[in-house]
Amino acid sequence: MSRSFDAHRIRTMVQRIARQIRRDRRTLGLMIVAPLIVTFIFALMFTGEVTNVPTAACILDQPWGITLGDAINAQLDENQNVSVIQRSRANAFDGFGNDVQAVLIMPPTLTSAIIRGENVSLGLHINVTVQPRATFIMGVVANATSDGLSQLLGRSGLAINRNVTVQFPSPPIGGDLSFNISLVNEDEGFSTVIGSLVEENLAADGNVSLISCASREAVIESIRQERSIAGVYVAGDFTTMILTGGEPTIELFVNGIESTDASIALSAIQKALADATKSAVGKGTEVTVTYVYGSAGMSMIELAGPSVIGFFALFFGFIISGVFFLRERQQGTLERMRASPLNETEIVIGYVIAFIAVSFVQTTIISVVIVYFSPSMLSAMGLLIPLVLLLVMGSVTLAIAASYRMRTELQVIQMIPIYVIPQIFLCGIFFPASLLPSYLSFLPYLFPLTYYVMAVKAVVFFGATLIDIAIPIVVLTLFAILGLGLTVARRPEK
Amino acid sequence: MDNVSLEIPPGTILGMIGPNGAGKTTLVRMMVGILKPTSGACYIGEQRSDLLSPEERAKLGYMTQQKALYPDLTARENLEFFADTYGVSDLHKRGEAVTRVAELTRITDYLDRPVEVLSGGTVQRLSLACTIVHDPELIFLDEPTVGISPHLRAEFWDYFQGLARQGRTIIMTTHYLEEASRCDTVAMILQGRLIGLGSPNELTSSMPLERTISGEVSPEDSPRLKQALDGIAENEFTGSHFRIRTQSDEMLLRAFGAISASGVHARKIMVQQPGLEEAFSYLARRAGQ
Repeated sequence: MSRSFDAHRIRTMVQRIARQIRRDRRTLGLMIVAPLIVTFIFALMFTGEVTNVPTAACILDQPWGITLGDAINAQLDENQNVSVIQRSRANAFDGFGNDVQAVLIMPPTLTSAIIRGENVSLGLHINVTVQPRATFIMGVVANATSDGLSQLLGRSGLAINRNVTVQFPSPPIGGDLSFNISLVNEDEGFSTVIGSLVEENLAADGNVSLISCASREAVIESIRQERSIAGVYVAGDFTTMILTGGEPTIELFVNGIESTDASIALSAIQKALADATKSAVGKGTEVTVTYVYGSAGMSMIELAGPSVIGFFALFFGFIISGVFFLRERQQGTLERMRASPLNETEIVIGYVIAFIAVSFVQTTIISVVIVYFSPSMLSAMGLLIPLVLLLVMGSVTLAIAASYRMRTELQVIQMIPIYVIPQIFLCGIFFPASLLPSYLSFLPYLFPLTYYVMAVKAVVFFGATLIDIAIPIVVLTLFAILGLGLTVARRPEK
Repeated sequence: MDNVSLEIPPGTILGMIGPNGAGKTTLVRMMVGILKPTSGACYIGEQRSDLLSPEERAKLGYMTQQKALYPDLTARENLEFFADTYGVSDLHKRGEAVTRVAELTRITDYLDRPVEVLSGGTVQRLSLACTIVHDPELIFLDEPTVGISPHLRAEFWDYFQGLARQGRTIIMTTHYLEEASRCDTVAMILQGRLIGLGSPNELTSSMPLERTISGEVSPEDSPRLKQALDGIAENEFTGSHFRIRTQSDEMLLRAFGAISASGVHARKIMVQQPGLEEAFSYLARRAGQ
């Protein structure tokens, strides 16, 4: 058969297929209206925000009852050489230098400042006759504070402001080391309940609506009865554990079926928790989000829309040209055409051109919807449309090659789960291909849509130019050539 | 196909007969050039049929066994499409061609209706019209009259013979033997082999097949007739009824001579000559041995 192409004959083919598609209202509707509606719904679904996810919360957290002041006080009390006299700030210095050798002032913010890592110091005033006594007192107080600190928080290192007066600097002739200390313990301890802060933060978060529960079981029950999507349980010793470096208990419960809602609730809980610990103890797991890809507040339609256009073009290009071509074979018109001056390549090219035209219309309409919801995409259209058309070329030629090997329209439909559906999941539209285990990581590269998605994301999100996406373009072209090759080089008839 | 060799002069109607699955369609497809024979070749003029240029291909017409029409397009659109693919693209010429074949096949009234609403007979006429819309020189018709009324079949034969008179060559397959007998040449095909080739007349008269003469004579005449026939042809008499069996046309004539020479008055004389069916069975038997 001759290999020369005749533009007129190809045009005849294109006109005839276009006329058939125009006449077949249902197919036309399927190709234009269906993707339009789907895109529209898709856009509405993903530009809308999910708010007020019912979230159950059971916060039993209690304040931390211990203060550092009490701990230091107790340490000093235990020391047999020390007599502790409890004083207020007003009468702290009564008898100072006579029967009171030392004054220790613990400020109200002592515990909370230590926990927050802020600067705080104890005031130690000493008035003794000889230097060794002063040294001894300083040693005792330093020991008591560091013991108290490590007992409470598992660490040491508290600054002590010393104010020492020694009456007779010359060494004494021995004597009693005991001393009286006037202790001003104003330490108010750590009054914040972190669990309550978590609850407050959650209540303030518009993404969730909080349902208070009395117990951990009530939280679980609430999810089970679908009154809430997620739940949080904070144990009574939560604050204590956080402050003392223990293991704080916070349990999250999720209805995993409602994954979108659940993930919103989960991130709200995590944020509330991080914010609470940060405001309470001045540190926490700080989450910094840097958008390498896209930007904050990008909706699903913006992220997936451009890729979805390609999917629609591929899907309809494949299914409809597959069925059309199969019919051409079944009704015998292909046989008639093959006996005519039309050659196989002209027939396939005719199909490709006709379906490229249809896809062009389809893509334009879908793009209008997507651009309406995501105007930033408009600038990428110049490269996006040629990419879609290239994808369609591969799709149509592969469909024709496949339909040569099929007997019924059902077999074309059977190609949907084999060829079309996997591409939604594998080609990086919704899920990154890197989620696949390494031994399956080759899978996405078998499908043309992967290369389209690759190129489109580069163009839309990174402003790639034609040269940057040369590789996907070459691969897409190869798919089209492969399809054409498979069509022409099909099994010879005997 | 097994070792088939035949040559078809221009302006003739070749009919290929044989049972279903004999290979008639395969042979047509090889002739049209859609199918490449594993060995050997079909030539159309000087050119191998599978290597025809588009221009040479435009001189062929092929009516497949299936209707091979686009049901969603109108009759006119189908005609225009096939005319276009065969290079009849000039709008004026194409319009004329469509009008001409539509008139010839009497589908003018249905031209603007979608094919899917047309009756079977009209669809068949349209299928033929699509085959000849570009006025091909060589026309392949694969079972063109299958499933249509005897009346329409007769009409189709008028078209075929008209086309042949205009110098067109027609190669057709059929399994109606009475159709084959209207062809100039008949090719008998069985299990991929060509078992007989010739004009219907040649095929029937050249075979050693039984020809019978039957009739009635009065009982008193029958011994005379029997005597006259003895040694010339096998005969049997039952009462007034007689039956003479011969194996060739020559013998048949000699038997007739004997009857007239005997001078008996025979009535209701009937001659039964073999048809293509008998010829086919004979050839099939011979090929089987």
